[in-house]
Amino acid sequence: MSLFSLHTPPFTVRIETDSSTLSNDLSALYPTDVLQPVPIAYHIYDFHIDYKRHFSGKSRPYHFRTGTEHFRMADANQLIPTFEWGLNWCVSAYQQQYLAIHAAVLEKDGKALIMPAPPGSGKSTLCALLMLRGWRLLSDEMCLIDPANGQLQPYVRPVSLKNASIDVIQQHQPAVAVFHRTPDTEKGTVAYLRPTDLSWQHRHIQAKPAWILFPAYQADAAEPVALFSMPKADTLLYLAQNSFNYAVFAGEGFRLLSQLVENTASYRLEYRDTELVLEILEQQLC
Amino acid sequence: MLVPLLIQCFRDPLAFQATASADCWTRLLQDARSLGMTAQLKALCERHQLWDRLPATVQKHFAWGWRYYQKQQASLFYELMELEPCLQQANYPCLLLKGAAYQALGLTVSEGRLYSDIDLLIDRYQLDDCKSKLFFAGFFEPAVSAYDKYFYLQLSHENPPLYHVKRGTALDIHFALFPLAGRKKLATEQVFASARPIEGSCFQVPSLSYLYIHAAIHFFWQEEQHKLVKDLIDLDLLYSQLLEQNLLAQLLIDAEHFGALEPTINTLLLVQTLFKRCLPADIAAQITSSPYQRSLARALVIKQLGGGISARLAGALWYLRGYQHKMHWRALLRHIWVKGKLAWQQRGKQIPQQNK
Repeated sequence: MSLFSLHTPPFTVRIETDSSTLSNDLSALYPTDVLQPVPIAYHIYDFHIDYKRHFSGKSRPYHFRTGTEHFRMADANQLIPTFEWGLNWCVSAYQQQYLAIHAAVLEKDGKALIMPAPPGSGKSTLCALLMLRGWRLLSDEMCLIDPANGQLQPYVRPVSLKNASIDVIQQHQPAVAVFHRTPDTEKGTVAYLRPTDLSWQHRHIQAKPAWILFPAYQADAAEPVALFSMPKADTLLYLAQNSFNYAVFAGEGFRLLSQLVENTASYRLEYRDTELVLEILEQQLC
Repeated sequence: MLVPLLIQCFRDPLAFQATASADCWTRLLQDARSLGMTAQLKALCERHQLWDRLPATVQKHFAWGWRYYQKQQASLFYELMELEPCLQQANYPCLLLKGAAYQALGLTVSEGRLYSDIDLLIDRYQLDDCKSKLFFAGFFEPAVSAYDKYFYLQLSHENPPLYHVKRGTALDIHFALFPLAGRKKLATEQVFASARPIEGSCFQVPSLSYLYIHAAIHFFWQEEQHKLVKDLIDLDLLYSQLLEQNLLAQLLIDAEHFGALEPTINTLLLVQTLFKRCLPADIAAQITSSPYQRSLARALVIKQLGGGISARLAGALWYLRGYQHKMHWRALLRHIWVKGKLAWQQRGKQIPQQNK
């Protein structure tokens, strides 16, 4: 049985597992000061994860649990994706410190870009490519708005790539390592990209929101790239619908989202040419 | 005796705060989150002026829980306000039960306590009228089989849950406090007699002693194991409030009239043992001489709070014992027979469909 911990601000996690490979596998994705081989005795952890094998039918899958809450079972070959999804579940289901929106967040020159979008829209691909071009990653999954100041709180974790986006990244950046390519998960083939050193180094530093971009990859689009302004009311509604805890924040949630939308520029981006879209984005935004 | 951390914390929050290690706090946070009790811990620490002495991470988690609780509390009061105009027209008492009643009365137990649905108690003969009123307020009853309907109305103690067509609120209408199939001969009319109106509302609430009795019967005469700790903490907080208001003697009188001395006495003994509460001498004397003490059942509860094989074994015995209380053996046999038969017939229907 091994016990180790992950210190990914603003949350810390202690993991208890009987897998002999999990800690080693995660070391490809997290730096040594984030992935601690032994939990810190005097530290109070936000989440204790129990990730052990149990009998279940004919197999002995790993069960991802926190407290008595069960998230999901995983076969040995899907340990990493289920672990990453499990951590997302812990945070999205239980944290109520930040107003959380399902979106990728990056920052450059002190200004943050929020990209909320449904699966298949190319959000993670764009997020990964922008990160590899020098943008700082705050999160590829969760936009955390601090109610105290309206700033965005980083929650740096590996970038999750799915299906075709894995090849797109490898075509654009052949030198970049893609880790733990796992076929046949419930989301298809998934793989992970390690955040850049810049992203890890600034993982404690909040960023000021500047843009909200709704990307939509359309292979058969007439134009290679089309960028439209989004009405602020539509942006607010979409963000509210894609928030994990907007209802819990109630009136404060509305105030925070209104303030966010008021102080940022919102766009809808339709594209089929990834290289061109990166150039246009950097021209328009930076 | 291995006492869960949550019980240790509620038993003596000052001692817990003074001695808890980081690992202890980490485990407490996990247990509390699983049972939806972090907001109750915040309320507990504030009642004991401990907030400023808590570690920052613990404060953070308690604040998360409190934010969620505030949303739930607002939703509950909103829902009750929505129900008011509809149930104002009822010329019979509508009593709030459990979490909704605790909230409406502002009891200590309600501070930070989450709820999953709204429980109402009405006279059995007014059930159809109440449902028709709720129907016009947007509540509907999802379709259930004829047998399930019979089960709810003749063997259980409540109507199938009603849901609001827009808000999705779940509403449980009870016509008794315990399943009829248990044949416990409980005097439900005493609950109505004890009730008092909530000022400015059409709803009523049972007296504090009946709220305790209701919690006690659902704890001691049931088979569920996953929220024993939460239910014990509810009982301890209700007990403390009864003690404060000098109502423990009334509790035993009400329990006897209602027909539920056994769960009342044994839950008081569990509260005494697990939370180290000192029962008043007259109450302790009455309990000690009572023939309703069930030391084996209490031992099963305490065993389940520990871990390992013995806890699982105790859980299995508790499960069987709970069903024995909830359903008379003849009702249980008939229930198993009918459910088995229906499942078999359903299987017969599914096979030809699969072959198509």
